[in-house]
Amino acid sequence: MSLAGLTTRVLARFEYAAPTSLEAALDLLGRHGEAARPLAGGTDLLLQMRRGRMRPAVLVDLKRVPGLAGIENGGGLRIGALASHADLVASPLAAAPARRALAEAARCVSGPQIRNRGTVGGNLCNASPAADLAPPLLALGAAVEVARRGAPVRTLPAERLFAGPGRTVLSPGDLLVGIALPAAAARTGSAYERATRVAIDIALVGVAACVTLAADGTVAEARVALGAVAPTPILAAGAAAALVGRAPEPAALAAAARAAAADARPITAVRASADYRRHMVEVLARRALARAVAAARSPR
Amino acid sequence: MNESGLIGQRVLPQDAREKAGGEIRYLPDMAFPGLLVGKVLRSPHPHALVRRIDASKARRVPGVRAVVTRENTPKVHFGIVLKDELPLAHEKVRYVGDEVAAVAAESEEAALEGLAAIEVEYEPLPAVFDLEAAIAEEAPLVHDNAPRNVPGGVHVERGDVETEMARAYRVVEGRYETPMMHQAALEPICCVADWREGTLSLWGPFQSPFLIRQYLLAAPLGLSLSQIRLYQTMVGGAFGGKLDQRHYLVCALLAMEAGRPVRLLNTLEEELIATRPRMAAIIRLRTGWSREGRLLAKQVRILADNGAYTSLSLPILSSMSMRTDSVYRTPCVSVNADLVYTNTCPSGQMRGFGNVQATFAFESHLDEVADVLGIDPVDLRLANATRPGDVSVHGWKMLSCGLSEAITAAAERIGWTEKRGRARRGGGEGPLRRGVGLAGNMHVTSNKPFATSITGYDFDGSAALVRVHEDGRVTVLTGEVDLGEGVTTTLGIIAAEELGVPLDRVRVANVDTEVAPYGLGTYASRVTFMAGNAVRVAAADARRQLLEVAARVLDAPASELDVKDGVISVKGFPHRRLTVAEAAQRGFALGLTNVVGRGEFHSEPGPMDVKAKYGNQTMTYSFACHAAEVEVDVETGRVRVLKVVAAHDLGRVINRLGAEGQIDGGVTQGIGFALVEELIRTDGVIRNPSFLDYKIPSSLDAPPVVEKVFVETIDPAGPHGAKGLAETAINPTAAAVANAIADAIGVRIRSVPITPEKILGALGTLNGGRA
Repeated sequence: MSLAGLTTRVLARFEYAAPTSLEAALDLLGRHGEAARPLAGGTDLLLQMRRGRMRPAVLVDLKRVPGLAGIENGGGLRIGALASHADLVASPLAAAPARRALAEAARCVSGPQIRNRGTVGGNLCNASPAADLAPPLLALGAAVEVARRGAPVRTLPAERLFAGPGRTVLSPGDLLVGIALPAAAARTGSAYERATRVAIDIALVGVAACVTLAADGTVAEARVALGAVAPTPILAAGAAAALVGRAPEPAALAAAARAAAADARPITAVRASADYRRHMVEVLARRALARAVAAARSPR
Repeated sequence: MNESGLIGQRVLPQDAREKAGGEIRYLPDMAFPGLLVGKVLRSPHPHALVRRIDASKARRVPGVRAVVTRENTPKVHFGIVLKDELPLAHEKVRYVGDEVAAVAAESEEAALEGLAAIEVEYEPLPAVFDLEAAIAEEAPLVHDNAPRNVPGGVHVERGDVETEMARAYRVVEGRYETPMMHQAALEPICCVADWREGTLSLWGPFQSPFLIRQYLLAAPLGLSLSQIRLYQTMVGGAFGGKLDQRHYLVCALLAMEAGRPVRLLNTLEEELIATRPRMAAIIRLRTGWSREGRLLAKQVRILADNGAYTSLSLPILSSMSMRTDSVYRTPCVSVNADLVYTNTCPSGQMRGFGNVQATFAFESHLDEVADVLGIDPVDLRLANATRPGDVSVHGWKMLSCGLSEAITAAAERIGWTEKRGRARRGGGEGPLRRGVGLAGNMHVTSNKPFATSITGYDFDGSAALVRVHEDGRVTVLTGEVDLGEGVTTTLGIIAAEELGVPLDRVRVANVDTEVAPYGLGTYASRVTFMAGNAVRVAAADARRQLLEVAARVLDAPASELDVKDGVISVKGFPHRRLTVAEAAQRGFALGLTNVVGRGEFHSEPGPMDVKAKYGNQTMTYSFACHAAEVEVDVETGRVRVLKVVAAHDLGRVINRLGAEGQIDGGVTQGIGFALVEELIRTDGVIRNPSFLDYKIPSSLDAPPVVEKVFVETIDPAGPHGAKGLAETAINPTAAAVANAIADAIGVRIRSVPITPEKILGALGTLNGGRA
């Protein structure tokens, strides 16, 4: 144990910039490269800085950049990187049966103050394996939009954003500006389940499920995503495969849940054992799938 | 009793609005000219020789004003019970977090830089962490003078236990385990020290300014009491944690070295690794019973984790070993309890003082006994419950006792008859199983042997001064402190009631050891009872003085006068009146009196045989029964506490709002102990030293309903009949929850916290079992 771990550090010195256009923000991020870090709600970043785990020389505050917040419907759903957890909780768009996993996950995050402050983009870019918003976004087939100075905005599937605990595939100078969800097919429902120690807690396990039913009631498409049971949030491909083409009966959901548990790669740590996490993936996947199916059947 | 009706009302504490609005000033909010920032260098090793310390580079760091190490501080062994501590490490460090050196600097940055510049060379030694391994002959010794790592224990034999066991209808055994639980006050331990012209001043949220001054400062520093002055600041939670700490001494050493005021404020990490949490213990119980469910004999064997230094662990162990023997009639008992040194942070006192652990074990055990005997747990408890007038096996006298009424009320209000055993009868839908359980408990209202063991005086009590100002305001001076529970409001109510003045005219002053009467401090659920009695006497004395003045002015005998709402009048002649303010002014104007009432209360529980640990601990005892209803998800192992009924014999309610609040807090903290709280340790390293991973319940985890039932036994010795409440409010909660969980799932879990993993493990669900 290092002695440094015994004290809360004083914040190291840094420069602060608050650009008022996306161009200016991208320019600052491009110019400073690795030395810069975008600042949104700051709920994770400032803690990391206090603990000395991150020492950016320049903070680029995005809150004055227009166009980065908001949740909009246009075929699919577009969520600005600076939309807050509270925005998701309040949005009727995120409460629709197909998107409900997202609102449920946002509601799980900490208390009202943090939900007001913390952003969707920040939650993803912090790249915690336990980030609550990651499993629903993966399950809902989200793509993240990445901007960069002098380059067109590119998109990549949300499940490819993460490189490891606390690491994304983004390069210095990149900025995640938004998240795009595809248009939801008819008869689609989703749900999010999580395990915690107390009400306000980091997820020990998070499971999001999204199910689309065919007209005959069988499963046309299913996506199950897991949090906190691998170095990054992951899609449980086995769970989806076990379900597609079958009637969403309890036995089928249970089989899919077992497949999800088999896809999990949890570790034993101070918060929970690997056995418990794997067990919880199975229980929560079954519950999330059952609720997603119920939501898919519910009238719009 | 001729009362105005103020006693028992719901009174908002005088500082409640300021606290809720964030306007209260805690120590870190206060400015001190020239204040330096202190930081402590702590051991990274659980057990090591300190080969070399070189602080010369640290002293040259810009901004550093003082560095203290073993080289410039006294090598004086001190300790509030056993003298096994030094101000800073000399030959050895004994746990990860042990204080090695400290720095005071102009800024936090400079102080941290100073810490980093101190060179320390350690030679790691073999260490002991496990209680059972630590008492083995070949185990490494934490302190050389404690063979088998046992610095003391509790060994008591009353009656012939083995004969009674032999004739018992059933003998039941069980092994129970409890973890290190942290006080987790939101305000960390902190103080400001200043050394000026031979006087050491300290400001801080102290749980006992007078004990800290004498035993934790004057003794190790070799100063006289008149050289040390403590100023009490607002306390942001203590729960036992703000009394015995080395923190205050280290801060004083820095201030004396620097010649400037120094503030030492723990980080939350330091708070969780290096302060003094609730003592972990392994408690083995063996009890013998008659066929009808009478307790015949009890055997208690305890190994308790002292950590690296003893702090208050010996008296805590006494409480853990013996307290439950007086809750139920216990004809004979054999106690063998050992305190065990380990290379872990020292354990210390926390709300319940050993009783939380003991009550979890014994009240869980009682439900197991009920199962074995086929007797309803409520009936079993009622059949054995202590009653008023009883003298327990340890010589404790039950002056007032509402235990049976509390058990009956708790059972009734939780719906015992309909709900108990529901899950076993096949109740519950899907994965959810509900259960109910209850647990009884008693606690002291002060602890005279404990006080005596610290001070050496045959004294337990309290003193108060009540000063009536010339504008009719009243200041109460006491040596006891408010830890946030609102006892100053309680004392204010008692003074206002006695004096006949409106409550908003009464203020209880913060303790300043130079001005306040001597007080032992706020622990052992003692202040309402002890200080309440003293304040009552002092206020009556002030009232007598006011009436003496008024008698002269109004030309009527004092016996014909009455005081109400701050006005003194002649009975039957309301126009012949004088305000309290006028009486106070006329008192000195006429050369009669400057109204200062003086009151003392001496606890006289009777003789105590200290060696045999036989005799009454305190004048009276509080009793409680908590009943809990839980819902267990047998697939996830998650427990929700749906309802708690807290039935309390607290003698008499003084401030109903305060009493309810104290119960809400105790129940929530008790649920934390039952379900989540544990300092997780691996090889002496605490692995969850943050609130991210040391979880405490929030209001979202508190039961939706905490129903309070007050059994008012009107104690003959208590102020207006009141007894203590602070610790009975937490003691029985965990056992009630554990018993409810066992009722819900049909499996007994004998260690807290009862985590989802333990529940799934007990149900056989976790490995291979199907969800």
